[in-house]
Amino acid sequence: MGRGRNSRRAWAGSLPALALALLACAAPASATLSGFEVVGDGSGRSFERTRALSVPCSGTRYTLGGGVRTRPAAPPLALSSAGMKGFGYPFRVAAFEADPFRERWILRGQAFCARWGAGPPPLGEAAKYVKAVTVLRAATPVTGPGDAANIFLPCPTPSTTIGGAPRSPSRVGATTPVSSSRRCAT
Amino acid sequence: MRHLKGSFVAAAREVNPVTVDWTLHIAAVCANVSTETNTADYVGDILSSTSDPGTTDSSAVKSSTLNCDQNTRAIGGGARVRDVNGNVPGPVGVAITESRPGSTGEAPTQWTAEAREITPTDKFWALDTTVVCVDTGAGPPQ
Repeated sequence: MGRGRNSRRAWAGSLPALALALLACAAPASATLSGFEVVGDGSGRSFERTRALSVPCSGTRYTLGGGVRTRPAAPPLALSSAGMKGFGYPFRVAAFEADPFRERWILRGQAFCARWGAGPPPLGEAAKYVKAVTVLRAATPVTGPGDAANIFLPCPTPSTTIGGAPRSPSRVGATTPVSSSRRCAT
Repeated sequence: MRHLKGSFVAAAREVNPVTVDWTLHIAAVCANVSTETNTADYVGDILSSTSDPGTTDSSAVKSSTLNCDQNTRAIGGGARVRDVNGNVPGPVGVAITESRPGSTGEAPTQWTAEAREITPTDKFWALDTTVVCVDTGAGPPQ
């Protein structure tokens, strides 16, 4: 587990490793990502001040990122974890009640996973390999008497979401993302 | 609203009512994982995946930006608030306000995260940030 984890540090001071890194830049496809999948898990619905759960990738897949969602969305919940210790570790999600309330709530997490294998993508079997990566951005302003915002951002066909993340303005200091996840249902 | 399979959604709310306008931003990392193409834009080596252990103290706001190596780009990452013993979650009241691929354009080269105490606490905590960087110039299939 953790192949490639902290590789920058592992390569520091290692000339053979540095040579390998330069070779990788000059002759890519010595490794590839394939078999992308989303793994989901969730807590039960109950009264809790704070919740956390880990979502591991299955089999030989590695964690690229993930998503997190709380339900119901209306209560004052805030996220305190949506990340992993490093490449290959489970995606860890956590949330807490910003203001205690009397309602049962659920925490759900997603891990975005892919296999990391050696060699170039084989001709005729390359469909499942990760390619043509782009990043899309969007923003929704909240003006006047609003207290919440939602954004739905689809990837253009034939691409699909393999990652993502939110940001709410720090200068306000009183807003926080309550969810950021991949929509898997149609 | 129609939710298409594979889209990315985000939501934010005011924890404490504010009187100023604010904006929720979102970034979605998209990729083709369903059709074969004869191009040299396949994801190849993972050249860095670094987790910043962060500084553990009682400051109310912490932020972190991790950069990818040259000629690589960020395709994933995340952020975690942990306590002084390294446990996740960290103290109640500390929220992540930002965790996203950094820089502008379609080729981010960093991951940026921020957390802050939305409820003041004197407990020590840290913000851990992770970025997964890859070479995206591999292929075409052989």
